[in-house]
Amino acid sequence: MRGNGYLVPFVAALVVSGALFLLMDMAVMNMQGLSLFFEP
Amino acid sequence: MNLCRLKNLKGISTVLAVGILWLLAGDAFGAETASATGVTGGYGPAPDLKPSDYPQVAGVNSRVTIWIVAQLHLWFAAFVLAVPIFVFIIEAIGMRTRDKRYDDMAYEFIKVSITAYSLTAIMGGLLLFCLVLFYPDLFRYMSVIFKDSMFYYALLFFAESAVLYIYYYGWHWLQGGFRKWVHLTLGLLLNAVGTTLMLLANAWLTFMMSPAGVDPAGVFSGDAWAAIHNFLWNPINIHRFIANIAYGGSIVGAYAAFKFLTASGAQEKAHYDWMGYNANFIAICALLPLPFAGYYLAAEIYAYSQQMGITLMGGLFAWLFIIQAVLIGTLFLSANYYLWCGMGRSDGAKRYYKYIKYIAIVLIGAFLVWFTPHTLVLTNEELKALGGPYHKYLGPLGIMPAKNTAVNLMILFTALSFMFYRRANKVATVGWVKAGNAIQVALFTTGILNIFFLGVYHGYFTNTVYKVAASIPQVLTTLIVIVASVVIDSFMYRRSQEAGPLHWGRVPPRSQYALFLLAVSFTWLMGLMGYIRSGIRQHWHILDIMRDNSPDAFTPTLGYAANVVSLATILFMAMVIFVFWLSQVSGSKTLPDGYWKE
Amino acid sequence: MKIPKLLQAVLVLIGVYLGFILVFDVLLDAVIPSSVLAMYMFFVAAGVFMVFTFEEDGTRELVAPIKALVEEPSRRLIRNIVFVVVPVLAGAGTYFQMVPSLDAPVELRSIHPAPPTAIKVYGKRVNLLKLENPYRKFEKEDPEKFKELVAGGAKVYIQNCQYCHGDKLDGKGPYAAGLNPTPLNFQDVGTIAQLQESYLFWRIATGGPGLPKEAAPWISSMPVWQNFLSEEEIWQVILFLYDYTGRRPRSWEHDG
Repeated sequence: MRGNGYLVPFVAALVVSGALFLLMDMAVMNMQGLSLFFEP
Repeated sequence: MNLCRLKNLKGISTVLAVGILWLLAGDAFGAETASATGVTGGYGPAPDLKPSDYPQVAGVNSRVTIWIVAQLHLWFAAFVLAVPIFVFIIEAIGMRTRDKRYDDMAYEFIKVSITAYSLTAIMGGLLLFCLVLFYPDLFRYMSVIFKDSMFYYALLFFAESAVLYIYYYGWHWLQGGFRKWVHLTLGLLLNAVGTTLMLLANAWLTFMMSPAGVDPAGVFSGDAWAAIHNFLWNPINIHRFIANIAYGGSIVGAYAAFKFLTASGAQEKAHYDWMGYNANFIAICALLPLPFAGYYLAAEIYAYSQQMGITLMGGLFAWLFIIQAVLIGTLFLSANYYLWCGMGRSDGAKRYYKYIKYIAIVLIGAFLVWFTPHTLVLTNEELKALGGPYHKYLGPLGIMPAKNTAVNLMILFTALSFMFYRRANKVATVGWVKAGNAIQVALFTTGILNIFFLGVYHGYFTNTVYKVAASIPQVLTTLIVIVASVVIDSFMYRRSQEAGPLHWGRVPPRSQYALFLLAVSFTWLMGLMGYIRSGIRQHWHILDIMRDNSPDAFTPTLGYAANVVSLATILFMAMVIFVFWLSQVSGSKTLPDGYWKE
Repeated sequence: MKIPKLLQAVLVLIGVYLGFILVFDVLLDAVIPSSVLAMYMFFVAAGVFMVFTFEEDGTRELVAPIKALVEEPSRRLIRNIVFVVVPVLAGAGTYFQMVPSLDAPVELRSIHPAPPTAIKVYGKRVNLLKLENPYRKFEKEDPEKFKELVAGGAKVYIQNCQYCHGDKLDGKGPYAAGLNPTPLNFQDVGTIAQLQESYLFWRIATGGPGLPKEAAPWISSMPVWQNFLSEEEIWQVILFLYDYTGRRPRSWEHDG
């Protein structure tokens, strides 16, 4: 299962989906009037 | 505390019930006519009752009686409301795929629910009688406020019965082309009427928890919509709608398991195996979003009244919530076990066996966190060793962020089980299989990391507003991972090869008992949660407005409550088995020798 | 050599059990309560059962030794021994679980008894649903004044509360060892971080005797502080509790 055919898309998808999840977190928290990181 | 909930007066048996309602509401109608010219509106405050105002009937405990009757009614009602929902969907699938097996299965589902339908009505009638006999003043007060909706409710029952009977008895008559479309439309109509019935009954019971349209003394403003559209109405509506589907699926699954285990031929076994699989699929699909609907409902209860919220989760009922957590976990475990057992139907499944144990480890791990109690039961020695009732490491697992994280993981991995099951019999032929798998693994990885980030960071290092807010992106993450993976899968396995024919019926009997466990856990769980939902009002008929002063009103101990729920569950299960048995009997014929004149 | 399946299953169970003991009792130095451990082990066993029996071949392998023990004529001796030893062990287990001990019975406490809708304090009726800390607003509006109020609260705390609740607010004050249940640990995420300030006001002002019926018989030795402190002092001490522990009170509005 390993090798470039696996590793490259894996890393790419990891970066892209990770970034998208963070963006979504930010968007959803903002929609609720909050920020991603806590501001007292 | 009272349990004479007006929970779903669903089964009013037609004319009789209409008559009773009419009589009871008679005064109210009169009052309204009289007040049309008056100034006050003619509505009095909620009555302040004395123990002597509650009739003692035949020496029975009125609270336990109404508790069990309402619960039985609810179970049957949930079942008969749910079945038409997925029968409609299955019928539509059958029409689209032109695969007659779907149509036959849909028909068999609705057939099971027909007998249950009359039991629902009988239980509803019994519930109404119990309310009128045991709690006449409460019922009178409620029926003044909800007079219109109760009346329409009774009338809607004619519509429900008529549509259901045409839908069922006309099944084989309305076949093919335009007629099939007419039949499908009837199915839609049946669901519309059934859902309306549920929404009305929900309004009455949520009014008792979060009264609206009345002033603090209980004087009704005359605005019926305000009373119906009270604070907890929609949260309950959503929760019940989803839960009913999951419940209906599980009961039908139990039916299929019953038929599978009693089947004699291989063909019959295969049929009921397939039916059980589909029922379980429906139950799981509805089960996955259910924890979120429940979380929403609990959050709204908290928002409406901190007192009810704390009674619910941190106070008196907290331990029942641990039992609830255990039962929900059992649902997830048995659903997963059923899927794993079902992989034996495929010859290609062996490839995935090695992953099952990892899914199990995550599921069990998440499950342990999910039911770790907030209030620990400690022996004195443990208390001394810990230096207090708080556990430094288990304590943090007892609160919501840990539970949310755990349940999201359980849902993700149940979805993974399901994906393995779907793949079991397929061999992908597209060129990008490796890349597709890599993307899916990456998606699961980042999704899980994100769930942990939201759960741990927002759950423990911010305040409650952030904590509650972060549960939404958590849920979305789970949903996105599931949907994206299923989409990738569907492209990847387009034009895939079959590993071999699927052997329906080649499952161990153990898997069928998992289906039974699913149905029984569901029933018990609904009984328990119904008690909790109703019980958190404690000594109120209608929260803060009408006190329950009946002689039988007291808050039961945990053991007492659990026993009543268990008793009700056994009664219900006995009736359900009776329904199953009837379907068995109706299909068998005896040819007596020499009995009839030739 | 391949370990037989049945032995594998038993070894996994023993391993997980010892793992819990090792992690909690030895490494973390916080014993795992036996009630929790029992529940954990039950479901770990369920999980092991699921993994070992979901496919036919594995199941056959798992139950083969048990089947052989029951059915094979050659194992008569060992069968008889097992059929005696297992019920005796079960009986002994039941006996030792049921035998009365001198320990006080285990108690199921509600950690947060539900507050009433309204309470009577300082001679007036207060609606707990709407009650707010009058000083909370200064946190944003006037940080200097807020600091002063917190310092005032700290003084009240040191003079009155730390004897039981501890100078680190961890529930380990000098008197704590003499109390059962022990004083509340405010540092724990499960205590004040879960509650609104009005709840704390209620608990401080009315103390143990003010607990609702559901917490009866109340065994809290919390004094009725409205007899000793002013309303302002209670609100200040609440500010201090949250400030020192770094926790935020529960709130419904977005204050971020």
